[in-house]
Amino acid sequence: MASKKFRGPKLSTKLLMLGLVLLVIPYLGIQSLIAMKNFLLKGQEQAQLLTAEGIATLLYGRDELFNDMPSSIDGYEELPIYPLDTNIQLDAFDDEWRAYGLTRKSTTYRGSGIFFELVFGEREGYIYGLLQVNDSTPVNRDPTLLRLNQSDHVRLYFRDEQGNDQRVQIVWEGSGVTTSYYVDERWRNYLGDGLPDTSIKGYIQRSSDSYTLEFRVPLDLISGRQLGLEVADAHSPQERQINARFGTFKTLEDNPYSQMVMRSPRLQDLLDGISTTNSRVWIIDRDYRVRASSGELEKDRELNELKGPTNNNVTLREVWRALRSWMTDRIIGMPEGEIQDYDPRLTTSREELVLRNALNAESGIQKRQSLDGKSTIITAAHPIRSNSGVIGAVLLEQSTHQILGLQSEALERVATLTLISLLAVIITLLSFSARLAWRIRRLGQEASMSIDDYGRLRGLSIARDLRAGDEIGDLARNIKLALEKLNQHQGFLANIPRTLRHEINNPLNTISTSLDNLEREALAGDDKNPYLASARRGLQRISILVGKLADAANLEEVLDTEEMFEFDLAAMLSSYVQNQQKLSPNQPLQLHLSEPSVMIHGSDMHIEQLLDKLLDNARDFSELNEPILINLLVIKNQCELQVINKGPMLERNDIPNLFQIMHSKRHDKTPGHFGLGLYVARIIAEHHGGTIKAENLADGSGPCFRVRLPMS
Amino acid sequence: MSYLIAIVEDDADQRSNYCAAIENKGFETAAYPNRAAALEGIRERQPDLAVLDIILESEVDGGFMLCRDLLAQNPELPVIFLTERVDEIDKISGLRLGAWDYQPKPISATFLAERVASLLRLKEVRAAPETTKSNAKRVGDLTLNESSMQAAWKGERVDLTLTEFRLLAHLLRIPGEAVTYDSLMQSTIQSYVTSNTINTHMRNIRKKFRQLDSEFDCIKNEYGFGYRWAK
Repeated sequence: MASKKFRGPKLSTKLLMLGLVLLVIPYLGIQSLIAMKNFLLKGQEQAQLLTAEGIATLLYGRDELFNDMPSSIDGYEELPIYPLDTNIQLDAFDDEWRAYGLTRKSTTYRGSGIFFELVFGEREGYIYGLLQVNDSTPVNRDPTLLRLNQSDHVRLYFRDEQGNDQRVQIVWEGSGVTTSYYVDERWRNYLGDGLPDTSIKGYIQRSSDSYTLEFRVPLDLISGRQLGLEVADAHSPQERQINARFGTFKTLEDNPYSQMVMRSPRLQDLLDGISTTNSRVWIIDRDYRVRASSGELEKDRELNELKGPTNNNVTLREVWRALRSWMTDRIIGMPEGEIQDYDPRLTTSREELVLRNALNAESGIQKRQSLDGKSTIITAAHPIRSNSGVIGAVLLEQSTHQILGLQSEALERVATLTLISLLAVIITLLSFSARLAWRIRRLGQEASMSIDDYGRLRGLSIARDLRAGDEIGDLARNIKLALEKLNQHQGFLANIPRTLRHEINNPLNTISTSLDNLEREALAGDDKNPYLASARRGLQRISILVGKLADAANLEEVLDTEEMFEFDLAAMLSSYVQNQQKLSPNQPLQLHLSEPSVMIHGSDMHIEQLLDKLLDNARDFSELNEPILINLLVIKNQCELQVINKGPMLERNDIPNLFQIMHSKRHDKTPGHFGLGLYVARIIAEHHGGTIKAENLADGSGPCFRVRLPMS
Repeated sequence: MSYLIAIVEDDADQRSNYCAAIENKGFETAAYPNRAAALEGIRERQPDLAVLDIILESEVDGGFMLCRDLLAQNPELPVIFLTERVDEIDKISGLRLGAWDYQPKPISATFLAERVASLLRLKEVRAAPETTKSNAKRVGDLTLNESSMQAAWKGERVDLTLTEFRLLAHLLRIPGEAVTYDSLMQSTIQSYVTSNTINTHMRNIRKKFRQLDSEFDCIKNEYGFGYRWAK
């Protein structure tokens, strides 16, 4: 019986949706991680400030460490002297200098551009310089000429300790070692005995259109920390006239010096002795100049690599790695790769708010983005004091990578645990719900299988889940109990006709035999009593009713004991229809057989009974003189018997009930009809492993009954 | 000499009705309400025919048991069973108790009386010398003796009940011609018979023939009509 279908989320879907509540765990985990991160960052800030303070305390009152370089003087250009971290070989190759940017100076002479590029560095008491000049007219020194300004040369200006101006000219006779001379103010003649100065060394490499000069000057010579460099270009080897000069300073007329900005070697030595991990220390003087630096910001955090990648789960590993990198990037905001920030070799000055505050005797902490904008760097600044006041500041910088790394690892763990637990929970829920749903479905199937389409017990009962202790077990037991009660009730109902016959037949027999005796006595009086006849008719009807009911009720039992054998349904049908036609010629019958022979396995007597019932039914509803059609078709391994009559259509709602016992739609209440015919037909069809169906013909001309029986 | 008919029926009304109808035919009757009373009464005087109800008071098979006892004492005793359950018929034939006939309730008392009379006649005929049995009808291998109501197949007696014999005789009035269910029902002289009952009887007749001759196939179904004896 088709029932309305209710569609909604399945049990497992509902449970899974509930399981999603577990997602709140990773959310809470992340929240606590963020709180932990903030706490750790605070701690780091404090630790940094403390370290900075410690270093500042170490430098307390060490004015002399800062005094090796005069304060910035207005009008002086600053000349950065970078700290060099490798030894420089004077060979006019720029390989050691590549990390440092060269400063370019240029001028125009006779319509053609002339420029030089220059960089200075300091290492172990020497100032090194690299100079590259584009000069298409090389004029080397002619050793036969006494005067020094008759060729291309480089001029150095500096002040010594006493504040005296010193001039050194570097000249060459071609590629190779250069010669340096202290010269007079007009840069014409050397001073003293004319011997070249050996403390200033240089090496030049000439090509047709340029030369590269690498040189060094002892730092002690330039104790005034003021230096100037000028390139002088001679016009041609013929006219050895200097016609272009340009230098590191603005104009020679103003001042030939630039203010050297460089580290304090002693301060640097001192600082190198303080080891700091994962942090960078800067010592800044009052002029914001970097005087020393040490340490490194934490390099990129090495994601702890999974060891020994094996071939079979490389993809899984890669997926995991990608997931981790996505998590660290998106959730924590920690980029992979090296932090791009101030390069201690190239940075000569720092000027930040926290630093300004520190130089104003106020320590502080500042968070800033690294120069590449990807990482966060915490800067702690603490003033260095002396009796005279603040002499500088200590900057201690540290990236947040360590903490972010910790957070990232924690997050990974949270994510992994969440993932695993979520998976476990989902699998558990899924299997649990699947099992639950399966059990319920199985119970439902068993329950529905126990009852046939007509609401009768099939004899099967609930077998599963009876011992289960849970609600489904209860349900199963309840259903079993209900089915058993139903079975008892059904047995009682099924027995009613038999009991009824037994109980009614005896009194009927009394009435019947009494009527006989009465009749006999009446006959003796020779007058036929009409009441006796009507009483006999009534008796007849009751006994027919009881008999038919009992027959129908017993039918299944009788069928069970019936012998089944093979016979030809087609042959039987043709004989049957012929005979029926003979018996009632007024009702035309039309038989159509699709096959000449249709063998079935069954009881011919009962198939005949089935035909009787269907034909009786068709006759009762058939229009006058309209033939009843009887068709026998073969469909695959089944045969279909159709009985079609022209007449009133079946009521749609009534169709499912047509084959129920005691269901009659006859309005005329013809005596002898108790709604057993179609019930009997169904029982017989089903006993033969077949089905019976009733439907209205599409053209609306009447009903059609179809009996399908399996063929042998 | 008047025949004594023993009637065993637990229902007093029915019992007295049977007695009245049978006595009206001029027979003596001895009525008993249960098996014990019947056995006692019968020991004193042997009846010529017994009409037995199957359910006797609390004994569901009382009639059957009684029948066995009676036939043990007197194998030639004609017994008519009365039953309110049609399905008992199968049991009776299955048990092969040797009952001559059975009638489903409700029965007609007149029919019962006539049947009693004809069974007694039959008893006389069967007891008579061989010569009187000469009016036998022969149809092929079948011999049908209407007066002794006995049938033989290829010379061997087929043990039919009275109703079965009537049906067979009716079928053979015109051998080879189909006989309708309706006329077969009439021939049983029972008050209420369906084509189903006829089918059951016919099946039992066939079985009895087949026990003698497994090749027997003379009783043909005429589906939707009735039966036919085929030679």
